[in-house]
Amino acid sequence: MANFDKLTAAQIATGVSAGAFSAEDVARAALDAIAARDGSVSAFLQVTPEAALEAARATDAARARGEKLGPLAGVPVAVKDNMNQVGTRTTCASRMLENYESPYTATCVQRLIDAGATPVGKTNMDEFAFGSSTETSAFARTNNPWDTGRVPGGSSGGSAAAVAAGEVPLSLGSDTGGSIRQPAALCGVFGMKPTYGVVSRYGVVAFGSSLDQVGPFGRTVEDVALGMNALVAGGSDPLDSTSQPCGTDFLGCLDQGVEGARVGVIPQLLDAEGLSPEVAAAVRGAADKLEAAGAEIVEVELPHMDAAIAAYYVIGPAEAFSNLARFDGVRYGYQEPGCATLAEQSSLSRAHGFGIEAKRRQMLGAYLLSSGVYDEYYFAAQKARTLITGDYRRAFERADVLLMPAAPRAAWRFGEISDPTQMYLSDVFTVPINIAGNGGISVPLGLGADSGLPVAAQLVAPSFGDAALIRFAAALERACGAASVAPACAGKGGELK
Amino acid sequence: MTAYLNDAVAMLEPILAYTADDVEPTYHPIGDLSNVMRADAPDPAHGLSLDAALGNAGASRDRSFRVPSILGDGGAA
Repeated sequence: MANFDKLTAAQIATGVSAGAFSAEDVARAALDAIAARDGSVSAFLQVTPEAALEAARATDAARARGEKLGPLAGVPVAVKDNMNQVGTRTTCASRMLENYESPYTATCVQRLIDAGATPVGKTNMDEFAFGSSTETSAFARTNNPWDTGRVPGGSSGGSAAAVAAGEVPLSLGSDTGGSIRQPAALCGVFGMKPTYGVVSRYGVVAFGSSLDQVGPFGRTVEDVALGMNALVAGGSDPLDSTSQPCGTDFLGCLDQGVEGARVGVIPQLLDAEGLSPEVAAAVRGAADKLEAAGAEIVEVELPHMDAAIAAYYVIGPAEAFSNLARFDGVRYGYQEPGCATLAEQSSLSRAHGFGIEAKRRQMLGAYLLSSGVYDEYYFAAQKARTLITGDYRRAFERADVLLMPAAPRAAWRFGEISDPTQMYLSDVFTVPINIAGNGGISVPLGLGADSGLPVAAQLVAPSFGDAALIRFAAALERACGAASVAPACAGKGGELK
Repeated sequence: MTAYLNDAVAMLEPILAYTADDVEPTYHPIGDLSNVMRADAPDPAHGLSLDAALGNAGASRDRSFRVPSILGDGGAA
Protein backbone atom coordinates (compact mmCIF):
# COMPACT_ATOMS: atom_id res chain seq x y z
CA MET A 1 0.00 0.00 0.00
CA ALA A 2 1.03 3.63 -0.35
CA ASN A 3 3.31 5.45 2.01
CA PHE A 4 1.39 6.92 4.91
CA ASP A 5 2.56 10.43 4.03
CA LYS A 6 0.63 10.38 0.75
CA LEU A 7 -2.64 10.18 2.67
CA THR A 8 -4.50 13.18 4.01
CA ALA A 9 -6.23 13.12 7.38
CA ALA A 10 -9.55 12.93 5.54
CA GLN A 11 -8.40 9.93 3.51
CA ILE A 12 -7.11 8.17 6.62
CA ALA A 13 -10.38 8.71 8.51
CA THR A 14 -12.39 7.49 5.52
CA GLY A 15 -10.13 4.47 5.05
CA VAL A 16 -10.21 3.48 8.70
CA SER A 17 -13.99 3.89 8.89
CA ALA A 18 -14.45 1.79 5.75
CA GLY A 19 -12.01 -0.89 6.90
CA ALA A 20 -9.57 -0.28 4.04
CA PHE A 21 -6.81 -0.29 6.67
CA SER A 22 -6.76 -0.37 10.44
CA ALA A 23 -6.09 2.51 12.79
CA GLU A 24 -3.32 0.41 14.32
CA ASP A 25 -1.58 0.01 10.94
CA VAL A 26 -1.82 3.77 10.41
CA ALA A 27 -0.42 4.43 13.89
CA ARG A 28 2.47 2.06 13.23
CA ALA A 29 3.16 3.77 9.91
CA ALA A 30 3.18 7.18 11.60
CA LEU A 31 5.51 5.98 14.34
CA ASP A 32 7.74 4.42 11.68
CA ALA A 33 7.81 7.70 9.73
CA ILE A 34 8.68 9.62 12.89
CA ALA A 35 11.48 7.16 13.67
CA ALA A 36 12.88 7.53 10.15
CA ARG A 37 12.52 11.30 9.77
CA ASP A 38 12.65 12.97 13.15
CA GLY A 39 16.36 12.39 13.58
CA SER A 40 16.95 15.13 11.02
CA VAL A 41 13.89 17.27 11.79
CA SER A 42 13.48 17.02 15.61
CA ALA A 43 9.87 18.11 15.54
CA PHE A 44 8.98 16.03 18.60
CA LEU A 45 9.95 16.41 22.24
CA GLN A 46 8.04 13.26 23.19
CA VAL A 47 6.73 10.41 21.09
CA THR A 48 4.11 8.25 22.80
CA PRO A 49 3.94 4.90 20.97
CA GLU A 50 2.09 3.06 23.72
CA ALA A 51 -0.61 5.70 23.98
CA ALA A 52 -0.87 5.90 20.20
CA LEU A 53 -1.27 2.17 19.73
CA GLU A 54 -3.74 1.95 22.62
CA ALA A 55 -5.89 4.68 21.08
CA ALA A 56 -5.66 3.12 17.63
CA ARG A 57 -6.66 -0.31 18.92
CA ALA A 58 -9.63 1.25 20.70
CA THR A 59 -10.69 2.78 17.38
CA ASP A 60 -10.36 -0.58 15.63
CA ALA A 61 -12.28 -2.31 18.43
CA ALA A 62 -15.08 0.24 18.14
CA ARG A 63 -15.32 -0.44 14.41
CA ALA A 64 -15.35 -4.18 15.07
CA ARG A 65 -18.32 -3.64 17.38
CA GLY A 66 -20.11 -1.88 14.56
CA GLU A 67 -19.91 1.57 16.11
CA LYS A 68 -19.84 4.67 13.93
CA LEU A 69 -16.36 6.11 14.11
CA GLY A 70 -15.51 9.78 14.61
CA PRO A 71 -14.49 12.18 11.84
CA LEU A 72 -10.80 11.83 12.75
CA ALA A 73 -10.89 8.03 13.12
CA GLY A 74 -7.35 6.72 13.24
CA VAL A 75 -5.74 10.03 12.22
CA PRO A 76 -2.32 10.46 13.87
CA VAL A 77 -2.07 13.89 15.48
CA ALA A 78 0.71 15.76 17.25
CA VAL A 79 0.14 18.55 19.76
CA LYS A 80 2.33 21.42 20.88
CA ASP A 81 4.02 20.79 24.19
CA ASN A 82 2.12 23.57 25.95
CA MET A 83 -1.07 21.49 25.84
CA ASN A 84 -1.81 19.18 28.73
CA GLN A 85 -2.46 15.56 27.86
CA VAL A 86 -2.71 12.92 30.56
CA GLY A 87 0.12 10.43 30.21
CA THR A 88 2.57 13.01 28.86
CA ARG A 89 4.79 15.68 30.28
CA THR A 90 3.85 19.25 29.34
CA THR A 91 7.20 21.01 29.31
CA CYS A 92 6.60 24.18 27.25
CA ALA A 93 10.16 23.38 26.08
CA SER A 94 11.39 24.84 29.36
CA ARG A 95 13.65 23.52 32.10
CA MET A 96 11.05 25.03 34.40
CA LEU A 97 8.55 22.32 33.42
CA GLU A 98 10.95 19.57 32.36
CA ASN A 99 9.34 17.02 34.69
CA TYR A 100 5.78 18.36 34.76
CA GLU A 101 3.28 15.54 34.32
CA SER A 102 -0.03 16.64 32.82
CA PRO A 103 -2.62 16.30 35.57
CA TYR A 104 -5.52 16.55 33.08
CA THR A 105 -6.11 16.83 29.35
CA ALA A 106 -6.67 20.14 27.56
CA THR A 107 -10.08 20.51 25.93
CA CYS A 108 -8.56 20.99 22.47
CA VAL A 109 -6.59 17.74 22.76
CA GLN A 110 -9.54 15.88 24.24
CA ARG A 111 -11.79 16.97 21.39
CA LEU A 112 -9.38 15.52 18.82
CA ILE A 113 -9.25 12.28 20.81
CA ASP A 114 -13.05 12.27 21.09
CA ALA A 115 -13.19 12.58 17.28
CA GLY A 116 -11.16 9.38 17.01
CA ALA A 117 -7.67 10.80 16.51
CA THR A 118 -4.55 8.90 17.52
CA PRO A 119 -2.22 11.15 19.57
CA VAL A 120 1.39 10.29 18.77
CA GLY A 121 3.35 12.88 20.72
CA LYS A 122 4.19 16.39 21.82
CA THR A 123 6.04 18.84 19.60
CA ASN A 124 8.88 21.25 20.16
CA MET A 125 8.29 24.98 20.55
CA ASP A 126 9.94 28.17 21.66
CA GLU A 127 10.17 28.20 25.44
CA PHE A 128 6.72 29.13 26.75
CA ALA A 129 5.98 30.19 23.14
CA PHE A 130 8.39 33.15 23.37
CA GLY A 131 9.96 33.22 19.93
CA SER A 132 9.57 33.07 16.18
CA SER A 133 12.05 30.34 15.27
CA THR A 134 11.76 27.58 17.92
CA GLU A 135 15.39 28.38 18.76
CA THR A 136 14.53 29.29 22.36
CA SER A 137 13.52 25.70 23.18
CA ALA A 138 15.55 24.42 26.11
CA PHE A 139 15.64 20.90 24.72
CA ALA A 140 16.02 20.64 20.95
CA ARG A 141 16.65 22.49 17.71
CA THR A 142 13.83 21.79 15.28
CA ASN A 143 15.04 21.94 11.68
CA ASN A 144 12.96 23.11 8.75
CA PRO A 145 12.16 19.96 6.75
CA TRP A 146 12.74 21.91 3.50
CA ASP A 147 16.30 22.84 4.53
CA THR A 148 17.61 21.50 7.79
CA GLY A 149 20.03 24.41 8.09
CA ARG A 150 17.10 26.78 8.48
CA VAL A 151 14.56 27.52 11.19
CA PRO A 152 11.01 26.14 11.04
CA GLY A 153 9.55 29.38 12.38
CA GLY A 154 7.88 29.58 15.73
CA SER A 155 6.76 29.33 18.28
CA SER A 156 4.82 26.25 17.09
CA GLY A 157 7.78 25.17 14.94
CA GLY A 158 7.58 21.51 15.92
CA SER A 159 3.91 21.19 15.00
CA ALA A 160 4.51 22.85 11.60
CA ALA A 161 7.62 20.78 10.89
CA ALA A 162 5.91 17.50 11.84
CA VAL A 163 3.22 18.12 9.21
CA ALA A 164 5.70 19.37 6.58
CA ALA A 165 7.88 16.30 7.16
CA GLY A 166 4.92 13.97 6.66
CA GLU A 167 5.22 12.61 10.20
CA VAL A 168 1.57 13.42 10.89
CA PRO A 169 -1.15 14.86 8.65
CA LEU A 170 -2.60 17.07 11.39
CA SER A 171 -1.23 18.88 14.42
CA LEU A 172 -2.17 21.57 16.90
CA GLY A 173 -0.38 24.79 17.70
CA SER A 174 -1.12 27.93 19.68
CA ASP A 175 -0.89 31.46 18.31
CA THR A 176 -0.35 34.56 20.44
CA GLY A 177 1.29 36.76 17.82
CA GLY A 178 1.63 34.50 14.78
CA SER A 179 2.89 31.26 16.30
CA ILE A 180 0.70 29.10 14.05
CA ARG A 181 0.64 31.18 10.86
CA GLN A 182 4.33 32.12 10.70
CA PRO A 183 5.80 28.59 11.11
CA ALA A 184 3.14 27.28 8.72
CA ALA A 185 4.42 29.82 6.18
CA LEU A 186 8.06 28.88 6.68
CA CYS A 187 7.33 25.14 6.50
CA GLY A 188 4.95 25.30 3.53
CA VAL A 189 1.77 24.01 5.21
CA PHE A 190 -1.63 25.45 6.12
CA GLY A 191 -1.94 26.85 9.64
CA MET A 192 -5.09 28.45 11.01
CA LYS A 193 -5.57 30.73 13.99
CA PRO A 194 -9.33 31.03 14.53
CA THR A 195 -10.94 34.12 15.99
CA TYR A 196 -10.07 34.57 19.66
CA GLY A 197 -12.60 32.56 21.66
CA VAL A 198 -13.54 30.00 18.98
CA VAL A 199 -11.33 27.23 20.41
CA SER A 200 -11.10 26.48 24.13
CA ARG A 201 -7.75 27.19 25.75
CA TYR A 202 -8.50 25.18 28.89
CA GLY A 203 -5.40 23.14 29.63
CA VAL A 204 -3.11 25.18 27.38
CA VAL A 205 -0.34 26.92 29.33
CA ALA A 206 -1.12 30.63 29.15
CA PHE A 207 1.18 33.21 27.54
CA GLY A 208 -0.93 36.27 26.68
CA SER A 209 -4.44 35.70 27.93
CA SER A 210 -6.13 38.30 25.71
CA LEU A 211 -4.22 37.05 22.64
CA ASP A 212 -3.77 33.25 22.83
CA GLN A 213 -5.71 30.97 20.51
CA VAL A 214 -5.37 27.31 19.45
CA GLY A 215 -5.60 26.05 15.88
CA PRO A 216 -4.64 23.27 13.45
CA PHE A 217 -1.88 22.67 10.91
CA GLY A 218 -2.47 20.47 7.83
CA ARG A 219 -1.26 19.88 4.30
CA THR A 220 -4.73 20.40 2.84
CA VAL A 221 -7.50 22.87 3.59
CA GLU A 222 -9.87 19.93 4.01
CA ASP A 223 -7.69 18.56 6.81
CA VAL A 224 -7.63 21.97 8.51
CA ALA A 225 -11.43 22.09 8.22
CA LEU A 226 -11.68 18.58 9.68
CA GLY A 227 -9.52 19.66 12.59
CA MET A 228 -11.56 22.80 13.13
CA ASN A 229 -14.82 20.87 13.14
CA ALA A 230 -13.43 18.57 15.82
CA LEU A 231 -12.12 21.49 17.89
CA VAL A 232 -15.48 23.27 17.99
CA ALA A 233 -17.65 20.16 18.32
CA GLY A 234 -19.58 20.20 21.55
CA GLY A 235 -19.95 23.97 21.56
CA SER A 236 -18.41 26.44 23.95
CA ASP A 237 -16.32 25.06 26.77
CA PRO A 238 -17.59 25.89 30.27
CA LEU A 239 -14.02 25.41 31.51
CA ASP A 240 -12.78 28.45 29.53
CA SER A 241 -14.66 31.68 30.21
CA THR A 242 -13.51 33.12 26.85
CA SER A 243 -14.86 30.15 24.88
CA GLN A 244 -17.61 31.16 22.47
CA PRO A 245 -20.12 28.96 20.64
CA CYS A 246 -19.22 28.27 17.02
CA GLY A 247 -21.80 26.62 14.83
CA THR A 248 -19.74 26.68 11.65
CA ASP A 249 -19.40 23.51 9.56
CA PHE A 250 -15.93 24.21 8.20
CA LEU A 251 -16.06 21.26 5.79
CA GLY A 252 -19.16 22.80 4.27
CA CYS A 253 -17.13 25.88 3.27
CA LEU A 254 -14.67 24.03 1.04
CA ASP A 255 -16.65 24.19 -2.20
CA GLN A 256 -18.44 27.50 -1.85
CA GLY A 257 -16.25 29.23 -4.42
CA VAL A 258 -15.35 32.90 -4.46
CA GLU A 259 -17.41 34.12 -7.41
CA GLY A 260 -18.46 37.70 -6.70
CA ALA A 261 -16.70 37.82 -3.35
CA ARG A 262 -14.50 40.78 -2.41
CA VAL A 263 -10.86 40.24 -1.47
CA GLY A 264 -9.20 43.19 0.23
CA VAL A 265 -5.52 43.90 -0.39
CA ILE A 266 -3.57 46.51 1.53
CA PRO A 267 -1.05 48.33 -0.72
CA GLN A 268 0.96 49.62 2.24
CA LEU A 269 1.66 46.03 3.34
CA LEU A 270 2.85 44.86 -0.07
CA ASP A 271 5.33 47.74 -0.12
CA ALA A 272 6.36 47.28 3.51
CA GLU A 273 9.99 47.61 4.47
CA GLY A 274 11.56 44.21 5.07
CA LEU A 275 9.10 42.30 2.88
CA SER A 276 11.11 40.13 0.49
CA PRO A 277 10.35 40.57 -3.21
CA GLU A 278 9.55 36.87 -3.66
CA VAL A 279 6.91 36.95 -0.90
CA ALA A 280 5.41 40.18 -2.29
CA ALA A 281 5.30 38.62 -5.77
CA ALA A 282 3.69 35.44 -4.44
CA VAL A 283 0.98 37.37 -2.58
CA ARG A 284 0.25 39.51 -5.67
CA GLY A 285 0.06 36.26 -7.65
CA ALA A 286 -2.43 34.88 -5.13
CA ALA A 287 -4.60 37.97 -5.61
CA ASP A 288 -4.50 37.37 -9.37
CA LYS A 289 -5.57 33.76 -8.87
CA LEU A 290 -8.49 34.73 -6.67
CA GLU A 291 -9.52 37.31 -9.25
CA ALA A 292 -9.31 34.66 -11.96
CA ALA A 293 -11.56 32.49 -9.81
CA GLY A 294 -14.18 35.22 -9.87
CA ALA A 295 -13.39 37.36 -6.86
CA GLU A 296 -13.21 41.13 -6.97
CA ILE A 297 -9.98 42.64 -5.65
CA VAL A 298 -10.47 45.85 -3.66
CA GLU A 299 -7.87 48.04 -2.01
CA VAL A 300 -8.38 48.78 1.68
CA GLU A 301 -6.39 50.63 4.32
CA LEU A 302 -5.24 49.71 7.80
CA PRO A 303 -4.01 53.10 8.98
CA HIS A 304 -2.80 52.04 12.41
CA MET A 305 -0.78 48.98 11.38
CA ASP A 306 2.42 50.76 12.37
CA ALA A 307 1.34 50.70 16.02
CA ALA A 308 0.69 46.96 16.08
CA ILE A 309 4.19 45.67 16.85
CA ALA A 310 4.67 48.18 19.66
CA ALA A 311 1.21 47.47 21.07
CA TYR A 312 1.86 43.74 20.92
CA TYR A 313 5.20 44.00 22.70
CA VAL A 314 3.51 45.97 25.47
CA ILE A 315 0.43 43.77 25.89
CA GLY A 316 2.15 40.40 25.32
CA PRO A 317 5.00 40.78 27.82
CA ALA A 318 2.67 42.42 30.37
CA GLU A 319 0.30 39.47 30.22
CA ALA A 320 3.19 36.97 30.13
CA PHE A 321 4.74 38.54 33.23
CA SER A 322 1.43 38.14 35.02
CA ASN A 323 0.85 34.56 33.81
CA LEU A 324 4.36 33.30 34.53
CA ALA A 325 4.34 34.66 38.07
CA ARG A 326 2.72 31.35 39.02
CA PHE A 327 6.00 29.48 38.56
CA ASP A 328 7.22 29.88 42.11
CA GLY A 329 8.96 26.54 42.50
CA VAL A 330 6.42 25.37 45.08
CA ARG A 331 3.35 23.82 43.48
CA TYR A 332 4.95 22.68 40.23
CA GLY A 333 7.95 23.41 38.10
CA TYR A 334 11.64 23.46 38.83
CA GLN A 335 12.49 23.80 42.52
CA GLU A 336 15.96 24.93 43.52
CA PRO A 337 17.25 22.50 46.16
CA GLY A 338 18.74 23.46 49.50
CA CYS A 339 17.26 26.93 49.92
CA ALA A 340 16.94 28.35 53.44
CA THR A 341 13.98 30.61 52.78
CA LEU A 342 10.94 30.65 50.54
CA ALA A 343 12.09 33.91 48.95
CA GLU A 344 15.46 32.39 48.07
CA GLN A 345 13.82 29.25 46.72
CA SER A 346 11.40 31.21 44.55
CA SER A 347 14.09 33.52 43.23
CA LEU A 348 16.61 30.80 42.39
CA SER A 349 13.98 28.44 40.98
CA ARG A 350 12.95 31.14 38.51
CA ALA A 351 16.54 32.19 37.82
CA HIS A 352 17.59 28.64 36.96
CA GLY A 353 14.31 27.36 35.53
CA PHE A 354 13.64 30.00 32.86
CA GLY A 355 15.73 30.51 29.75
CA ILE A 356 16.97 33.86 28.51
CA GLU A 357 14.03 34.82 26.27
CA ALA A 358 11.49 33.93 28.97
CA LYS A 359 13.43 36.19 31.33
CA ARG A 360 13.57 38.99 28.75
CA ARG A 361 9.81 38.97 28.23
CA GLN A 362 9.08 38.88 31.94
CA MET A 363 11.54 41.65 32.71
CA LEU A 364 10.03 43.77 29.97
CA GLY A 365 6.53 43.00 31.25
CA ALA A 366 7.55 43.82 34.83
CA TYR A 367 8.93 47.17 33.70
CA LEU A 368 5.86 48.00 31.62
CA LEU A 369 3.53 47.26 34.53
CA SER A 370 5.58 49.21 37.05
CA SER A 371 4.24 52.31 38.69
CA GLY A 372 4.47 55.37 36.45
CA VAL A 373 5.36 53.34 33.34
CA TYR A 374 2.06 51.49 33.24
CA ASP A 375 0.01 54.59 32.41
CA GLU A 376 2.36 55.62 29.62
CA TYR A 377 2.68 52.31 27.80
CA TYR A 378 -0.03 49.83 28.78
CA PHE A 379 -2.90 52.31 28.62
CA ALA A 380 -1.64 53.64 25.26
CA ALA A 381 -1.29 50.13 23.87
CA GLN A 382 -4.90 49.37 24.71
CA LYS A 383 -5.97 52.58 22.97
CA ALA A 384 -3.96 51.53 19.93
CA ARG A 385 -5.79 48.21 20.12
CA THR A 386 -9.09 50.07 19.84
CA LEU A 387 -7.86 51.85 16.71
CA ILE A 388 -6.38 48.70 15.12
CA THR A 389 -9.61 46.78 15.77
CA GLY A 390 -11.56 49.66 14.20
CA ASP A 391 -9.30 49.51 11.12
CA TYR A 392 -10.22 45.89 10.56
CA ARG A 393 -13.91 46.50 11.17
CA ARG A 394 -13.93 49.24 8.53
CA ALA A 395 -11.88 47.11 6.11
CA PHE A 396 -14.44 44.33 6.37
CA GLU A 397 -17.20 46.74 5.36
CA ARG A 398 -15.55 46.73 1.93
CA ALA A 399 -14.10 43.19 1.77
CA ASP A 400 -15.15 39.66 2.71
CA VAL A 401 -11.60 38.63 3.46
CA LEU A 402 -8.17 40.29 3.50
CA LEU A 403 -5.11 38.96 1.67
CA MET A 404 -1.62 39.82 2.92
CA PRO A 405 1.76 38.21 3.61
CA ALA A 406 2.03 35.77 6.50
CA ALA A 407 5.76 36.20 7.06
CA PRO A 408 8.04 38.84 5.55
CA ARG A 409 10.51 36.29 4.17
CA ALA A 410 11.19 32.61 3.71
CA ALA A 411 12.93 30.55 6.41
CA TRP A 412 16.25 31.98 7.56
CA ARG A 413 19.41 30.22 8.68
CA PHE A 414 19.95 29.31 12.32
CA GLY A 415 21.60 32.13 14.18
CA GLU A 416 21.02 34.58 11.33
CA ILE A 417 18.80 36.77 13.50
CA SER A 418 20.52 37.11 16.86
CA ASP A 419 19.06 40.46 17.96
CA PRO A 420 15.81 39.68 19.82
CA THR A 421 14.16 42.95 18.82
CA GLN A 422 14.90 42.18 15.15
CA MET A 423 13.39 38.74 15.64
CA TYR A 424 10.20 40.40 16.91
CA LEU A 425 9.77 42.06 13.50
CA SER A 426 9.35 38.66 11.83
CA ASP A 427 5.81 38.72 13.25
CA VAL A 428 4.93 42.09 11.75
CA PHE A 429 2.14 40.69 9.53
CA THR A 430 0.62 38.39 12.13
CA VAL A 431 0.53 40.27 15.44
CA PRO A 432 -2.09 42.86 14.36
CA ILE A 433 -4.62 40.06 13.91
CA ASN A 434 -4.05 38.87 17.47
CA ILE A 435 -4.40 42.43 18.70
CA ALA A 436 -7.79 42.70 16.97
CA GLY A 437 -8.76 39.09 17.77
CA ASN A 438 -9.69 38.11 14.21
CA GLY A 439 -8.93 34.74 12.63
CA GLY A 440 -6.25 34.18 10.02
CA ILE A 441 -4.86 31.31 7.98
CA SER A 442 -1.48 30.85 6.36
CA VAL A 443 -1.79 29.50 2.82
CA PRO A 444 1.29 27.97 1.15
CA LEU A 445 1.98 29.37 -2.33
CA GLY A 446 4.73 27.04 -3.48
CA LEU A 447 8.42 27.87 -3.49
CA GLY A 448 9.87 31.37 -3.66
CA ALA A 449 11.43 32.43 -6.93
CA ASP A 450 14.66 33.50 -5.23
CA SER A 451 15.08 31.24 -2.21
CA GLY A 452 13.49 28.04 -3.49
CA LEU A 453 11.85 27.76 -0.06
CA PRO A 454 8.16 27.81 0.88
CA VAL A 455 6.42 31.18 0.77
CA ALA A 456 2.88 31.94 1.86
CA ALA A 457 0.00 34.36 1.98
CA GLN A 458 -2.26 35.06 4.92
CA LEU A 459 -6.01 35.38 4.72
CA VAL A 460 -7.77 37.32 7.49
CA ALA A 461 -11.51 37.08 8.15
CA PRO A 462 -13.99 39.22 10.06
CA SER A 463 -14.27 38.43 13.75
CA PHE A 464 -16.12 35.09 14.10
CA GLY A 465 -16.30 34.87 10.30
CA ASP A 466 -13.76 32.05 10.22
CA ALA A 467 -15.75 30.16 7.61
CA ALA A 468 -14.32 32.64 5.09
CA LEU A 469 -10.80 31.45 5.88
CA ILE A 470 -11.61 27.92 4.74
CA ARG A 471 -13.64 29.14 1.76
CA PHE A 472 -10.91 31.39 0.34
CA ALA A 473 -8.01 29.12 1.32
CA ALA A 474 -9.73 26.29 -0.56
CA ALA A 475 -9.99 28.53 -3.62
CA LEU A 476 -6.28 29.30 -3.45
CA GLU A 477 -5.50 25.63 -2.92
CA ARG A 478 -7.43 24.76 -6.07
CA ALA A 479 -5.36 27.32 -7.94
CA CYS A 480 -1.96 26.61 -6.36
CA GLY A 481 -2.20 22.96 -5.30
CA ALA A 482 -2.07 21.31 -1.90
CA ALA A 483 1.00 21.53 0.28
CA SER A 484 3.49 18.75 -0.27
CA VAL A 485 5.71 16.81 2.08
CA ALA A 486 9.25 18.21 2.09
CA PRO A 487 11.22 16.25 -0.54
CA ALA A 488 14.03 15.18 1.82
CA CYS A 489 11.46 13.50 4.09
CA ALA A 490 8.88 12.13 1.64
CA GLY A 491 8.70 8.36 1.56
CA LYS A 492 11.22 7.78 4.36
CA GLY A 493 9.74 5.09 6.59
CA GLY A 494 5.99 5.14 7.09
CA GLU A 495 4.97 2.41 4.66
CA LEU A 496 1.32 1.60 5.34
CA LYS A 497 1.04 -2.16 5.32
CA MET B 1 19.64 42.20 29.81
CA THR B 2 20.15 45.96 30.24
CA ALA B 3 21.00 46.43 26.56
CA TYR B 4 18.00 44.33 25.59
CA LEU B 5 15.64 46.32 27.77
CA ASN B 6 16.96 49.58 26.32
CA ASP B 7 16.43 48.30 22.76
CA ALA B 8 13.01 46.86 23.56
CA VAL B 9 11.74 50.00 25.26
CA ALA B 10 13.06 52.08 22.35
CA MET B 11 11.13 49.80 19.97
CA LEU B 12 7.95 50.54 21.95
CA GLU B 13 8.24 54.30 21.68
CA PRO B 14 5.68 54.65 18.87
CA ILE B 15 2.99 53.57 21.30
CA LEU B 16 3.53 56.70 23.39
CA ALA B 17 1.73 58.73 20.72
CA TYR B 18 -1.56 56.93 21.41
CA THR B 19 -2.88 59.18 24.13
CA ALA B 20 -6.05 60.58 22.54
CA ASP B 21 -8.70 61.24 25.18
CA ASP B 22 -11.51 60.33 22.79
CA VAL B 23 -10.27 56.76 22.26
CA GLU B 24 -11.43 54.20 24.78
CA PRO B 25 -8.92 51.46 25.59
CA THR B 26 -9.76 47.87 24.56
CA TYR B 27 -8.53 45.43 27.18
CA HIS B 28 -9.95 42.32 25.59
CA PRO B 29 -10.96 41.27 22.07
CA ILE B 30 -14.36 40.09 23.25
CA GLY B 31 -15.82 43.33 24.52
CA ASP B 32 -18.92 42.12 26.30
CA LEU B 33 -17.24 39.15 27.94
CA SER B 34 -18.44 38.27 31.39
CA ASN B 35 -17.21 35.68 33.80
CA VAL B 36 -18.65 32.21 33.42
CA MET B 37 -19.44 31.02 36.90
CA ARG B 38 -20.30 27.42 37.66
CA ALA B 39 -22.36 26.35 40.62
CA ASP B 40 -20.50 26.67 43.92
CA ALA B 41 -20.38 22.92 44.44
CA PRO B 42 -17.76 20.18 44.18
CA ASP B 43 -17.10 19.08 40.60
CA PRO B 44 -15.27 15.76 40.83
CA ALA B 45 -15.11 15.44 37.05
CA HIS B 46 -12.81 18.46 36.82
CA GLY B 47 -11.23 18.67 40.25
CA LEU B 48 -7.72 17.42 40.90
CA SER B 49 -7.18 14.59 43.34
CA LEU B 50 -4.84 15.32 46.22
CA ASP B 51 -2.21 13.07 44.67
CA ALA B 52 -2.49 14.84 41.32
CA ALA B 53 -2.35 18.27 42.94
CA LEU B 54 0.76 17.39 44.92
CA GLY B 55 2.31 15.18 42.24
CA ASN B 56 4.22 17.95 40.50
CA ALA B 57 5.40 19.70 43.65
CA GLY B 58 9.10 19.75 44.43
CA ALA B 59 8.35 18.84 48.05
CA SER B 60 5.23 17.84 49.94
CA ARG B 61 4.32 16.45 53.34
CA ASP B 62 1.06 14.80 54.31
CA ARG B 63 -1.64 16.84 52.55
CA SER B 64 0.42 19.98 51.94
CA PHE B 65 3.08 21.58 49.79
CA ARG B 66 6.27 21.84 51.80
CA VAL B 67 8.25 25.07 51.65
CA PRO B 68 11.26 26.54 53.48
CA SER B 69 10.82 29.14 56.17
CA ILE B 70 8.94 32.18 54.97
CA LEU B 71 10.54 34.52 57.51
CA GLY B 72 14.15 33.55 57.93
CA ASP B 73 16.35 30.66 58.94
CA GLY B 74 14.11 27.66 58.93
CA GLY B 75 15.94 24.99 57.02
CA ALA B 76 15.55 23.69 53.53
CA ALA B 77 12.32 22.12 52.24
